[in-house]
Amino acid sequence: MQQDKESKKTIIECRDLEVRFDVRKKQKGGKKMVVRAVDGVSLDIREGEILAAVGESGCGKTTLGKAILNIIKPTSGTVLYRGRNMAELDKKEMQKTRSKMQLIYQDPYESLDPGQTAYKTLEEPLLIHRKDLNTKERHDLIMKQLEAVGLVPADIIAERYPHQMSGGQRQRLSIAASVILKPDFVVADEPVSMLDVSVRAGILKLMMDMQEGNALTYLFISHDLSLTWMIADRIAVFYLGKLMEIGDAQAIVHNGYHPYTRALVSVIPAMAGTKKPEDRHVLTGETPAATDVPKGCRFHTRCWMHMEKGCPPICSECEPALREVGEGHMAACHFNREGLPFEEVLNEE
Amino acid sequence: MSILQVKDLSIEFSTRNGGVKAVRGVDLWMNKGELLGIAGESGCGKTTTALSIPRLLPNNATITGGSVVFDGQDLSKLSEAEMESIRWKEISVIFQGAMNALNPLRTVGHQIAEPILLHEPGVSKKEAEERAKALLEEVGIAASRYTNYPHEFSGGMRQRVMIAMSLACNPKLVIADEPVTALDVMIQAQILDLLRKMKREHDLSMIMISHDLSVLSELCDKIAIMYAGKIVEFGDAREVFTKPRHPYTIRLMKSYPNIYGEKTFVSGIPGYPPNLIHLEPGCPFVDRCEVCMEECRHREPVLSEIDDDHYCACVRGE
Repeated sequence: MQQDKESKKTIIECRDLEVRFDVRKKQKGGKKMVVRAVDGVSLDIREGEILAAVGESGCGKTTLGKAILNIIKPTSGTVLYRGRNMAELDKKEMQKTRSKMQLIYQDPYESLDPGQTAYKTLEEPLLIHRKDLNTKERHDLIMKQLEAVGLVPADIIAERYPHQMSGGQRQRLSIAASVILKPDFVVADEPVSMLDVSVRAGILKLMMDMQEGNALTYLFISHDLSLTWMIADRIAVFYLGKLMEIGDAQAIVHNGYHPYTRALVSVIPAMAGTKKPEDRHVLTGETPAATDVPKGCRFHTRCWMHMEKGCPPICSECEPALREVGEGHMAACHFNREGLPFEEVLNEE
Repeated sequence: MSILQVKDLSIEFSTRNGGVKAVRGVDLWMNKGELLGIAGESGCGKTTTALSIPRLLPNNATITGGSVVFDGQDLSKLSEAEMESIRWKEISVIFQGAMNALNPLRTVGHQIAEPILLHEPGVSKKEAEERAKALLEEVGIAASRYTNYPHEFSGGMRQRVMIAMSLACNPKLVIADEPVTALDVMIQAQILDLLRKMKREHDLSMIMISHDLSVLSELCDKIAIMYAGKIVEFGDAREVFTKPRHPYTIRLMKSYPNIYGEKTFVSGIPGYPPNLIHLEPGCPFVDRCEVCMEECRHREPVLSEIDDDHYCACVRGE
């Protein structure tokens, strides 16, 4: 799982990526509003790594994944895939690139076509992207793929419809469909959150196996920090469309910098008998609406450190930039881990 | 003092494919003021077991055996009309899926006041409204939102409304069915804190159903682990979580990554739970068990005491 990071090339590069949605309030007066789903995100995804995007509902993690795949058109900013700007590809090039970038959906109960057998589900992408295969080759490839994801006996499962399969089997089929074109980049959007815990491990293991055989890079979208800690190389924490912190998975969970990250870690339930640090930060209230992003640091309205420090005006006036706080570790906060103003710390050094 | 004693409870669902033996001889007990957690995966019978206590089962379910003694009263002997006076006033339920459990066409205030008016005939409308408003404040919602509709609330707020509603008639026992599933981690922490506070302030006993062992492990006094309609391990929560004995409990606990422990890949449990229509003899976990013996295929183990306040249904423990 852990890769040598230095030697890895960048496969995806996001620069100032923004996705905005225009919405109209349904009530009378119908004021136009803008949802800032992804609000200026810059990050690199390295070849062969698992980068996890975590955050609560509405933080923009799914939209980010879809914007990277160009399923949702970014409002502004660029996505480079292997150095090429996705927005500048013509239709033919786009289709070719599409087969290299895939999405695994969250809900295996809804992402599969209920009217298609497992065989048809896997055949469809091949009919579009692999016109070079004849019927026999296609059949062999589909059977091989079913076996590779543990759907055996393949010839029996191939004729099954989604409703004849369990949740775990469906997710295995989704994964098979996502990797059958041999992509090198896969966005997995909460791939196990709908599954029972005992089934989860098998699906995650399968995703890892797929990675080894195919030199895959994953963007793993999840709300579950402890899960991403286990499988990801790096974790990116999002809040209201903004990247708050990014770094090595171990560093994010055990040496988190941003008050938001630390709050998220502090509320992870611990099994009885495990030692857990005392400071628990349960944030009050709820995430503000993405149509009404707070001024300054967007997290300041719920930030425990902001309150502890007596609400310094810098937080509510000035948006902190993402800056290096450790090796390969970036965070966007005006204060350092101990709550000292970041600028002062810099000056002293 | 014991508040609940379930003995040899069995429940069957009639379906097109045959009778599903969802609950097969469950024994459970808890003391007043305790929080009992019932854990297990989808289809293990945890919700069915808990909802059979106030007899809130779907029409195709039949309680085929056993007894439920609540606060000294044998509920299994009560008529439907008598049961009606137990629900809400003695035992209330926080139903799963706060998103959908509220009536979208009624104000939340009305929905909290409704059980009061229904179950306490002496209470005036005005009084019920006052009590509902006080409850809203207690769960952290401004009383001014009494006239709001469910769609005006977020998921976490709706769950708060559900909690207020469950406390409307001052019950002794509250059954919370997956109260934090589908909520964000931070909201989950808020709701769990609120449940803890309400339990303390209202002097409640509580049953919490969850598939999430780590949530239960933080909260519960007692824990019951269910598998295939049976309780496979039961007892003092600390004892069970620190010294799990049933192979299923052990594997289930290993299915959760523990950020405070060693970074190992979760193992999961290969295979599937047995078919509850055509059950094979023997231990229901045998096909997924790594330490099963020949005996396990022939005889279903019974829940027996293996330590102080620690019960396990495994041939190895008997």
